[in-house]
Amino acid sequence: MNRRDFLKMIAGLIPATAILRVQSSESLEKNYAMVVDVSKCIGCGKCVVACKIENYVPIDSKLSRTWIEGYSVDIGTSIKEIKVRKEILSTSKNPFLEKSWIEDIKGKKTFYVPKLCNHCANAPCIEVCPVYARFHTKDGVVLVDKDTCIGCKYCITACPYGATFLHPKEKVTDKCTFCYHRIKKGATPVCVLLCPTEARNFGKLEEGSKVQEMIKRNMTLVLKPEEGTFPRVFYLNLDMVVDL
Amino acid sequence: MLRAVEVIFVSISLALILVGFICVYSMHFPLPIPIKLPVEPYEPAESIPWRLLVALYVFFVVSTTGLCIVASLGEVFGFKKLEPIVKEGLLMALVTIIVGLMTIGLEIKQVMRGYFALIGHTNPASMMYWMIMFYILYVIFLLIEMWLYFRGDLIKQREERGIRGFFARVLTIPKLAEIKDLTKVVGFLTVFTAIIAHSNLGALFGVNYLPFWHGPFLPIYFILSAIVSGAALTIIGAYIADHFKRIKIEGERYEAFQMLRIILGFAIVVTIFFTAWKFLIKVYPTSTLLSRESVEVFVYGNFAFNFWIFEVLIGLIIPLTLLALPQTGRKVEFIFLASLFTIVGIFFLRIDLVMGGLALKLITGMNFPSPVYHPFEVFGTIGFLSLAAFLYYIGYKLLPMEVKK
Repeated sequence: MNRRDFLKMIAGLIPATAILRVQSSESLEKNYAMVVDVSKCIGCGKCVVACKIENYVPIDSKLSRTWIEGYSVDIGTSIKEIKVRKEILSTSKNPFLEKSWIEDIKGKKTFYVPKLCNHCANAPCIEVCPVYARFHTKDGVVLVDKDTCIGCKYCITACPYGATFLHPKEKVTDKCTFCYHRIKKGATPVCVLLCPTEARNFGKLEEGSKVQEMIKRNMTLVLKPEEGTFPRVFYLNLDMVVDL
Repeated sequence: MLRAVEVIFVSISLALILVGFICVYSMHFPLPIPIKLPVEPYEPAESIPWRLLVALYVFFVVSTTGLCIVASLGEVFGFKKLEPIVKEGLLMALVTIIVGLMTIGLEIKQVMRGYFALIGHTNPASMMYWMIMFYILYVIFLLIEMWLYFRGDLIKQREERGIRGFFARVLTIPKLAEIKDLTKVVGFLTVFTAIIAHSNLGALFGVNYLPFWHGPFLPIYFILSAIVSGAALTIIGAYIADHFKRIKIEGERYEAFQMLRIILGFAIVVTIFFTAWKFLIKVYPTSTLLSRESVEVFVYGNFAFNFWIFEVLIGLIIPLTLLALPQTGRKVEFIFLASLFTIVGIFFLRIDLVMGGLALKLITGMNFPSPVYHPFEVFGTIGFLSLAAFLYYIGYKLLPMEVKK
């Protein structure tokens, strides 16, 4: 190999990696998606507990793959006076059953927002991972390769939704996988299965599927649309005070 | 022979390194011997992701870049006045990058998998991948540059007895007569790589959509603050070395200190403008709510003390006053004092940048910010800083540090 060939090879490598990456994201179709109806969620926390047991996340740890945010909104006379109280349910202990919360929400607008990894089509965590431990499956689920993750926690800082965390026992990053081991066998994720009010709906985005119809017929929102992450978790009846 | 002060220094720093090592080790693995530690080993999971050790890493690589820039001014870019301090600068640049890479290598949670980032599983889209590549390239260039720069004196040192002579004989095994003088070329490549690597580190933070970090100016700000800490550390290293050798700083050495005073003062002035405008633009009512909230943390939030006292007062205003006033600026002792203040300020600036930038980050179940610093992290940090001082001492002992006539 002479010098010219060597330089050509080096010059060719960079576009080659880019092409490989584009190809891997081109074959995405019939993605899985979740539609969360905020008006149906009662904040019971069954999904959180079920998820933790199914996916071996310590149940006492505040870290969780899915969690519920409870909002109690007090609208004053001026728009600047909106007072929001926010509690997070991420363990088996339910803060929404406590006396202070029940006393506090009387006469106020109260709602519960389940949150989880958004499985972004343009996922910041995949871009920033130095060792390619995160990837899209062909059906659009973002997964973590736990044998590769080096625990640098760059993805935690990059995720705009705070959905990624460091697993307290395994010392690698962890997040919602849409229960990939279940959905590949035709089952639904446990949080969807155990939701008593059908607030969570899950399925493929294909003609005639339930989630497709829900997205078509209702006004849906995604979290932080300004980030351009194109989440695959859609929300119905989301309130304006909900952050993240 | 070792003097009493050296014995004290070596024993204290070795003790601190040992304590720091035990603390860092126990963050990853259970200790092999059953010692009852007074504090529980630190549990990083339920806290902000990047903490004191990452800040320390950034501090070290900022310093190495700055030291390399300052040394290159004398060595490559023809600032003749700076030539007397090039050796100290290069030695400290090597020490800081080695300790810095150790810090980040021990900070990642799967220490044993660290090599994945070098071979096999690499992601060229990640800023962190490029950071690793550029810093490794930088270390290689820096070693070659130092070898070329020191080899003339090393040949003279071959004649000495004891460990210094042995060290020089090992390093000068390659035939020397045939090597061209490539010091300037390699020196240029080194400083070029250092700046690329360091601005890339700024981009690593800047690409994140955190309001305090996000933006294209962070890489530039990193280079600027590198010059501040590089000039300050060169002054500190050279002053302490001369002080313990009981040499009065005068003549060319004094001129070099005056040159460093100008560089440091100028860089501090630019940093003041950078800081002021950064904060003003972020709190201005037209910027987003998140951006305003991200700055409140510093103005009157959890990081207000760090910001106003350490970063602004100790890091910028006091040193600038000391350097600018002719009564103090002409005295080497006060230049040294100003540099010490600056370095303390820069260290807290790093903590604020890393931890304060993440303060707004709402991760489920995340506790922030109590306790802000875990004792284990603090001892680990002190250990790494002592290691840097210790390595500088060893390097100073082994290398021919006498200034060329």
